[in-house]
Amino acid sequence: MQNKGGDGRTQADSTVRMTQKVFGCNPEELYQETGSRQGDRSSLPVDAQTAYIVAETTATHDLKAKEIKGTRQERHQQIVETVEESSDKVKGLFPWNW
Amino acid sequence: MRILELKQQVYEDWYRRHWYNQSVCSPTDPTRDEMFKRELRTYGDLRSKSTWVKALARFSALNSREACLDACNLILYDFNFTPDRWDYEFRHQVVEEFLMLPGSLKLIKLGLEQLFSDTFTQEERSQANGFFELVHEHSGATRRIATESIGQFCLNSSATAG
Repeated sequence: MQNKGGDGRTQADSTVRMTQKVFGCNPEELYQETGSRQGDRSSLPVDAQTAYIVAETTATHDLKAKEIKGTRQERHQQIVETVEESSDKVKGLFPWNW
Repeated sequence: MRILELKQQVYEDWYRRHWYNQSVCSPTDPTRDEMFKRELRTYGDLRSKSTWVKALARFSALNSREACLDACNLILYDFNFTPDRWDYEFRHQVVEEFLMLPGSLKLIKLGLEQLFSDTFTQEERSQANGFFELVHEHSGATRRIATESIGQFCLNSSATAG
């Protein structure tokens, strides 16, 4: 994400978009609802950890394949949208989204 | 940063809070601006720059907390303030506001534990220089308890990681 010109807010926005698409909530809520330790994804249920691996791998692949350009704000927008689209593609793989 | 740019950034971080929490706040909602101003007034006089800085620190801290999946990202991204960042001049206020949130100090410590584990190389750790500089500045200038303990933890962790 940094290589594509994203900053701290890009990282945060992308993480929230991905989590909302895959789990229907933001990361803090996911940790609370699963009774896990926030900030430590290894404490999440295994299915949730797997879902993140799948979503992040897909998003990384899609980001690498995409040309991201423009101002800081434009690059931010393109990166977050790409992550959102990638997460949309994979969310149907997980049984809680059926 | 010019006041107009600051106001725009504050507005974006405020709007960010709504979609992070999936609360209804459509870009076309005519009452959105009024909602924003009403909330800003709780931080002070809208004519004063300090009001906007307080609001920025609060929104930024809350957003970092809600978006936190991996604690190490707080060190590597959220609070890795380098001089080229637009919010660099507000770094102290943002971190102080974050540390006031319940459980945030534990999150920072977890982030440091993760960063100094075998998962990260020394080169990757060095990318968080903005955070370590911030702790160094804060510990020297104000000696606040929270940043002192973070500073001590940084020293201990770096000694262990070798």
